[in-house]
Amino acid sequence: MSKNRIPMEFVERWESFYGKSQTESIIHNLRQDDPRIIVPNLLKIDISNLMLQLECKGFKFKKIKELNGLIVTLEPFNIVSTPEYLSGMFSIQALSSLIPPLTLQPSPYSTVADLAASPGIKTSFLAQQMNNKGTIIAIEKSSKRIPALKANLIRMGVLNTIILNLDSVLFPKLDIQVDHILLDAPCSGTGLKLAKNKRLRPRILNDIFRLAKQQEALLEKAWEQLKPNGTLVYSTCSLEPEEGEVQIGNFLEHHENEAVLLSIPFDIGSPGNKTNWKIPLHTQLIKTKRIFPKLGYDGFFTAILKKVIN
Amino acid sequence: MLFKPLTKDEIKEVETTINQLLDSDAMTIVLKRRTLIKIKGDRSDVYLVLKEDIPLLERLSSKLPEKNFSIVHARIKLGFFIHEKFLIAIESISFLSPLTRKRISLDTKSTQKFIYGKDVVINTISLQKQIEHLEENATIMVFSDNNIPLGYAKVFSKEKNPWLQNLVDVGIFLRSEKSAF
Repeated sequence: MSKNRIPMEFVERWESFYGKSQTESIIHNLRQDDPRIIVPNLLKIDISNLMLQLECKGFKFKKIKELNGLIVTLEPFNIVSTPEYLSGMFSIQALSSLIPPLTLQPSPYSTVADLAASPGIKTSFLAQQMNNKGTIIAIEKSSKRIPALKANLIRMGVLNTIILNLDSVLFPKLDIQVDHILLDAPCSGTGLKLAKNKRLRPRILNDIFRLAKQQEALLEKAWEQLKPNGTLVYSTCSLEPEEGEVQIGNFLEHHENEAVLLSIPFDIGSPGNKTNWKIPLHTQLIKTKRIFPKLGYDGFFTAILKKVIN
Repeated sequence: MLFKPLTKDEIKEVETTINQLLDSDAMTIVLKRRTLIKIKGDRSDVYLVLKEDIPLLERLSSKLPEKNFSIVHARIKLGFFIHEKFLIAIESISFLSPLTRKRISLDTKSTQKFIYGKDVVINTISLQKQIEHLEENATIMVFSDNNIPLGYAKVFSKEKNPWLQNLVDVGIFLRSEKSAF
């Protein structure tokens, strides 16, 4: 299968959910390679000083307006070999990864659980928002993914994190209540750019139902451990409604007296309620974000839920 | 229990080693608000946590069987013990770099050499001046000329050709991410 081929099964699905024109745009953008994008680590440096330091070494950048990132337009040598990268002054990533932690906005002295934490880029953004105060409990099921998580958090100077090697479905057994939860759930990854997506094969379609069940279980378990008035961000890098809008719509129906969606404070993407589905989607989904692939962004879905007491 | 506090002797060893590295009693002050623990694992890694973390860690340790669960990191890893001697780890650099007075700033060429894991020859007057007051074999923190912490080195200042022995540097994040952490 050629690198840029997208199976017809996906094309037909996306046309039914998002229409022909949007699907053409999705396919075009999934095939585009992203430029290198760097994001400053605010625990160590601001964007102006980072630009200044790297421009002295011959790098050139273009600022990204909506989020605090820089597109590398000239890279005279590999940017990851600079002392600035090695000492954690910036990370390299797709901009979509910034949205869940920026949406959660944890306060500095809160307790936050990050339920599928590796490789730790989102965890480090949580720490930046908390100014390295409070406590982050970073949970990762796969022991093989722990070294990358540790290395990233250490490099980025994150000092407020406890890392647990644990299956997140066992999280309630720890019997701790937290103020905020980030659940960037394991998903089919159909929103990822093709250059980094080895999974976009017809058989992944069979996995969507299984993954949706797994996400539902994780969401329910996480919700049990959220304090009243606490917030939970749910996100996936998938274009499939079963892993996004439908998942959250079902959750709202099951928890109608205790869960409300909050608005996401970014002018990026479209409201989730515009997605077509077999039955009308929950009206509150207007507050979720469906982000389609574009320059610097993978396809993504994000929602923020608040636990209310009635 | 998945973690344990350090013994009095171990605390003393960590405190003394780090105070020597910082050239101050900053670690003694830090330990008034924080505490040191070891996490159960292959090595005797030492972590600096808040005193109020202990009830949380105890709670975490008691709730699940160890086959399902482990604590793999807690706030700040400072170093590890080998044969009762405490050795500093690269993980401590973000926490300790603002506190240290025993330091050297390298020029661009030496910086690149150092973060590639190499030792550095002290061959300029500016570098010589920075180390001339340090005792032989002292452990110091190494910075770039724009104040980026790069790692730890041992000083050999009294030799005919003075040099810095690279103990550990931030290049390890690229060279051996999978095995080092």
